[in-house]
Order: sequence, then C-alpha cells, then structure tokens
Amino acid sequence: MNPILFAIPVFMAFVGLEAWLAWRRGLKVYRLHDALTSINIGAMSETIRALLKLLSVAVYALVVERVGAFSWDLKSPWVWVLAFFMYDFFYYWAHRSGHEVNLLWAAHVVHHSSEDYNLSTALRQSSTNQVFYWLFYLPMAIVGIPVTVFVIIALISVVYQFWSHTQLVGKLGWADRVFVTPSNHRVHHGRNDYCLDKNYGGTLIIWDRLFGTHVAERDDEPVVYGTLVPLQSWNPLWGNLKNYVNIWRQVRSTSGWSNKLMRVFAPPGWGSADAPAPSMPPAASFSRFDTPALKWQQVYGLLASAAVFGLLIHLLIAAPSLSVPQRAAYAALLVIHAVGMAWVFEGKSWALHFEAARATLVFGALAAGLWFGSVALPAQVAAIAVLALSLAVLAQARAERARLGMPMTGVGGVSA
Amino acid sequence: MNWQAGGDGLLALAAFWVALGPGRRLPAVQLACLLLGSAAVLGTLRFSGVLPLPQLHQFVSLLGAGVGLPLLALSLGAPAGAVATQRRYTWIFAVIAAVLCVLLGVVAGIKLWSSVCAFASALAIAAVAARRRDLLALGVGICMVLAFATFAAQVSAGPLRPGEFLHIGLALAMLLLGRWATVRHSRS
Repeated sequence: MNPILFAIPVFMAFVGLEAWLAWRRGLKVYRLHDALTSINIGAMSETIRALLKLLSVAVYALVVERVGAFSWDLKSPWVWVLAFFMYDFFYYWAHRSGHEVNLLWAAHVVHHSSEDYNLSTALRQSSTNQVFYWLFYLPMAIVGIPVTVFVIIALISVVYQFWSHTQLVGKLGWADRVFVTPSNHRVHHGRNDYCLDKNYGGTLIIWDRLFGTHVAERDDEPVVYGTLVPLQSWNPLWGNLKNYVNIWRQVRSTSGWSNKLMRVFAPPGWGSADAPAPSMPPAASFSRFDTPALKWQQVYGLLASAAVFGLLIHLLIAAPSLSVPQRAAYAALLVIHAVGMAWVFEGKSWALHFEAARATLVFGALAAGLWFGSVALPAQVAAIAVLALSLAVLAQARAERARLGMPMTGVGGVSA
Repeated sequence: MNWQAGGDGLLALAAFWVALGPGRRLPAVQLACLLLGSAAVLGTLRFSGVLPLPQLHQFVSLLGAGVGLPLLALSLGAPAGAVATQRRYTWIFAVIAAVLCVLLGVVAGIKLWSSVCAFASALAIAAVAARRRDLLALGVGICMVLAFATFAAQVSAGPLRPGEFLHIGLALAMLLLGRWATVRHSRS
C-alpha cells in the first residue's frame, strides 16, 4: 500500500487546521486560489510520481545488489542512524543543486512559486524533481543501505519537512540551531536579498551551518515569499514547465556551445560579457499575483480539487494493476483536470466551456463504468453527483461573472 | 604484499600526491586524482587481503575510468575551462558522468563503457597535447595510452601481470601530471 495514501488525509487535515487557526488569530496567510493551486500542483506531482517512482527505487535496489559495499542488518539501529544522516546530507546537496544549477532550478522552482507561505505550500511539489533528485542518493546504495531503510527514511524526511511550512510557529530557540524549523525554512522561501540561496537543509540545519549557507530569520525585515521572477499564473502545468521553456529560449538565443552549456548548468541568472544575463523585473515592480476570487469560482475550485483528490487516490490504489500506458493516460487526465481549474481561476475565455465539456466526458465515462479497471456502484453514483454539481456551479460562475460585468478574457486578470 | 597490491599501492601514492600537492589548486585534477587514488587504495586493500571489498573496488574503478579520466582530459585539454578551474562545474560534470556510469555500467551492464571512457580520454589528452606541443601533457597521454593498450593486449612479463602494467603506467602518468600542474601553476 502506498504510504502517501495515508499521508494525504493527514496533510489535508493539518492544512484545514492551520487555515482555521490563522483565521481565528486574524492572520491572512491563506488565499483560496493559491492554496488550491498548491494542492493541485501536489496532486499532479503525486500523479507523475505514480509513473516514475518505481523506476528510481528499482535503480536504487539494483545498485545496492550489484555494488553495495556492506551488508546491513535491518534490526540494527546503526543502519537507521547512518541512513538518516546520509539521507539528510545528500538531501542538502540535492536541494542546494536544485537552487544553484539552472536546469535543476527549473525542476524545483514550482515549489517556490507560491507567494504565500503555509502548509499547503509544502504540498506544492515539482513533478519533474523526481527525474533528478534520486540520483543524489546513489552513494547510499553504494554503501549498501537497504532499499527498505532508504524508502522509510525518505518518507520520514518528507513528513518532517511538511511542518516547517508555516507562519504560525515562531522562533524555537536551540531547535532553530539544530533542526530545520519553520523560522529557518521561512528564510529559505524568501525573496529578500538576505534570504536568497540560504537554509537548504531538510531535517537538520547543521549542514547549512557547516557549509556556510545558514542565515537566521530577521525580526526587523519580514520575509517576502516567492521567487525573483514570479510565476504569475495558477496553472500547475505552466508552473512546472515555465523555467524549462525559458532555458530552451536562452540556449537558442545564445551563441557558442560553452555559453549554451552555461545557460543550462550555471546558476539561474548567469551571464557573461558575450552572453548577457536574462533580464530581471525590477524589485520595486513586485506585487503579489492575484486574480478576482469570485464566490462560485471558489466553490468550483473546491469541488474540482476534491474530485482531483478522489481520482488521485484511486490512481494510487489502482496503479500497481495498471499498465504503463494506462497510468500515463490516467495521469494526463488528472493534469488536464488541474489545468482546467486553473483556467477558471485565471478567467480564461474558454475555461467554463472547457471545464463543462471535460467534466461531462470524464465523469460521464466514470458513471458509465468506462474507466481504468472495474467501477463500483457508489463510485458511479458519486460521478453522476459530481458531474451535476460541476455543471450547476459552472453555470452559476458564468452568471456571476456576467452579473458583475466581468466577461471571461483571453488573459488572466492580474491585480495587486 | 603481492605484486597486484603493490601496483595499486604505487598508483594510490602517485594519485594522492598529485591531489594533495601540485594538483590541489586545480579542482578537476584534484577530484580525478582522488577518485583514481581511492580506487587504487581499495585495490591495495583487496589484493593484500586486509579488507577485501571487490564490488566497491570495481565500482570506484568504474568511476575512476568513467569520471576521473574524462575530468583529466578536460583539465589537460581545456585548462582554462569552467570544468577545469571552477569547483562548481567540476562537480556538475562529475555528477553527470557518474550517473552515466551507474546507468550504463551498472544498470544496463555495459562493461565496455568504462574502457571506452578511459581510452578515449587518454587519446584525447595525447592528441590535444601533441597539437599544442605540450610535452608534459603529451607524456601523460602516451603513458595512459600505453597502459591501456598493454592491459587490453593482456601483456605479462615475469611476475607482472596486465593489471600491474596498467597501474604502473597510470602511476607514471600521475607523476607527469604532477609536474604539469606544477609548471602550470608557476606560469600563472
């Protein structure tokens, strides 16, 4: 059984709890569009992971089998202690590379694209990170750390990192000097000058202190979240692909193979005398990306997100029995679902019609039993209910926009 | 101590001398020599019977051939390049080359990969050095080419088996590399 299946409801419950606590304290740390985008990006990441995870674990296991220098007893506490420190150490370097190598930054940037900072941001994980990151842990396989230990330690690290994405926990004294705490990690997500390329640790902050990348959160300068080049979109697919497209454009417009290679492997924003750095918007022009959050649009967002999660959970359960093309088709369906929802948020002219057509096709097929594997009767009934609700809410959203004199546009409306 | 362990020990000493001495200011040379030296230390431990870790020895040797020698080729071929002079790019190159080694050499089981990398690197070092009339670098390249050629031809002489010729040839190449690094440093 995929452990993520258990983690999803727990993570969602904590997101709800944090939103409620923030609301009670009068703190505005959540915006629905941003939080739902984070959750959808997370769902998309898990969808892709269902396709790729086996590959990385299989390669790890193969390297352990063929190269593993030592044999470890799973019952020995030392193998777990060693694996924990090794994993965290290599996480630090994988994460640091994710910020300091342009190609890897393209994979990681989506996690930093939220301009809010809350537990939902922790779920905003990249879909393409998993293509690169596992490579950094191969030294553990060479030492012979068993694949079971590796997978469990990795899971513990993921769960630990979830709680550091909150503004509701302040500084924690001695813990801030040893562990990655919310205070340490807020700095990591900041775009203030003093925050850039700092605090890369996963569980322990000692690696940052050791390698000179640690900085403490300043009381006199509030952290401003996001990236220097903002995403300016709720689209999870664009969030994952934007920087790759930028790199491709930069490589094409750069002359000389060494400069082209530097565009890919140098730090983001690299430039030289004969290959100027990409232009950066002036700091003063930064304003948080936002679009009008209309009532029915938000209701549709909640409904569509719930549907994405329902389908994601089914995909994770059914994945072992599906062929790779079936998994790929299912994943593509979920990605289109998340993109459609983003278009509704951004007020795209085609969004409501697209979503009505998509919901009819997807939930119609599910209700008719034409799905990946057998469909139980309750699922068919639920599909009919979701379809009816989706169409009704989309109609209300359309009427609401017309009533407010806000016609759907070809480009997302942006306001500060 | 047998001849196999002795040959590996000789290579380890030469490689670590370059890494910690004349090559310490050249990140790619240093990393390459540390990799080759580590493989040689594991070989010494293995063949002397002190700590036999044959799988690890083979793997680090694979990295030495598939990562270390291409790094040396880049250092000697483009000594002012980013990979040769900047630690960041040395590591980026090393990680990419290591991943290729793991995927091709270990996962896909293409044993020839490390040999191709090693021989191509040696030839590249010799060819570029000859074109530039850089005698020390040419010496490094020729020593390597001869070492790999005798190993491939399975040449034996008395107590020396093909592996020993390889290690002695590489150790000589390391000594010349150390001299090359010293000259380069004194010029800059």
